[in-house]
Amino acid sequence: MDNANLTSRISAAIEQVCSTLQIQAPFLSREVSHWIRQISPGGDPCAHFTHVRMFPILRLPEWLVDTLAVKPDPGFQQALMHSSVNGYYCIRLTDDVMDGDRDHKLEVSILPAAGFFCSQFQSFYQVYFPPEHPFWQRFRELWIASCESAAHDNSLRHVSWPDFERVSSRKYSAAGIPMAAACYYYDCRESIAPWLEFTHALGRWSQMVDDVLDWHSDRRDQRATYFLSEGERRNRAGESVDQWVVREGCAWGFELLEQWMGEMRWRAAELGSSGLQDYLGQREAWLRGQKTAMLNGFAAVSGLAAILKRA
Amino acid sequence: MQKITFPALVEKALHEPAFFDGLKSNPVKALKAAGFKPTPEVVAALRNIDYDAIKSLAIACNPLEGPLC
Repeated sequence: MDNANLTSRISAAIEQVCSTLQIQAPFLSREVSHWIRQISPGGDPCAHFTHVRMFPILRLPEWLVDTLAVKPDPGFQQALMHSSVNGYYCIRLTDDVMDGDRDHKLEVSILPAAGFFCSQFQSFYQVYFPPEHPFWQRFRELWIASCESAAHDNSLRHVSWPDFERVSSRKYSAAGIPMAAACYYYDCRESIAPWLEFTHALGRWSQMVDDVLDWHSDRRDQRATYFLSEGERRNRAGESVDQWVVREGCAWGFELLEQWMGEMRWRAAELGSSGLQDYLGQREAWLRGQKTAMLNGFAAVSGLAAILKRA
Repeated sequence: MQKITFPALVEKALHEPAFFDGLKSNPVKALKAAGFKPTPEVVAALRNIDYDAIKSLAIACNPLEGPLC
């Protein structure tokens, strides 16, 4: 799918979310629309979903379907996208309220909109799958795993490697729901397991990217992450976590991310999706840029600290 | 005035670009304002700092309104 087509389909899905909300919940609608713009880079909700740091929740099902020997049903594909936009906003609103680091008053005041988003997210699947369909068992497993992990992760004060594997990186489980739906809809159930495994690997990678890039704001807001917990474990006697990040932590984090990216690229090749491989190539190049910027920046800060010590 | 600690310097690198603009354009004034002694050696050494790299660091660590991120 080309970028213009993708953007226009995402815009249509967001427009549908906002117009349905306007009709069904006019009181909530105004503030929710404001919140949607507020969380979007540059105030553009569409750009939010195509942003380089965004988990590709709307694109994964497209990449999956491209690998299947089926003719994609545009109506179903658009329904998946619309459902996922609602699912994303539901999870994002809940997360933001739990984090409490943005416009907390606004987020709490519109929290009931999570009910709207959740209902919309689910209702699209009800059109395609009857209540007894095995899809719903998958739906429940993945949705509840996501909810459970979000709550558990938020409660952690120290994140060990097992915590990161079993809890933090499982927050992305719900992203597997549209993948499972596509597999059932196109009758390719054998594709569910490998694509869910890939989605988990991408979720783990995305969580670690957040840990490494947002380390400073996480520390300021006292959010426990695996990256910072490793800093507390690996720092030298008398060395602060900040000093550990600058000395070796940042390089360690990027090394881990590069290793996981290699594994994801191998998995993507196995899955046979050229769209996914292109996407990973873009993310890899972007990550290299971030790594260079951070390591060079830290080198400059260390140099400056050494000079100021003499002043 | 108390000198800047390492964590405070990192904090400034990420959130206070004006401090580094000052060190680059008028190091004597910026050093004095921060409680440091602007010796000629220190002022000369500051000319070798890659201030652009510090700016790029701040951009890279900017906590974007990240979704699921």
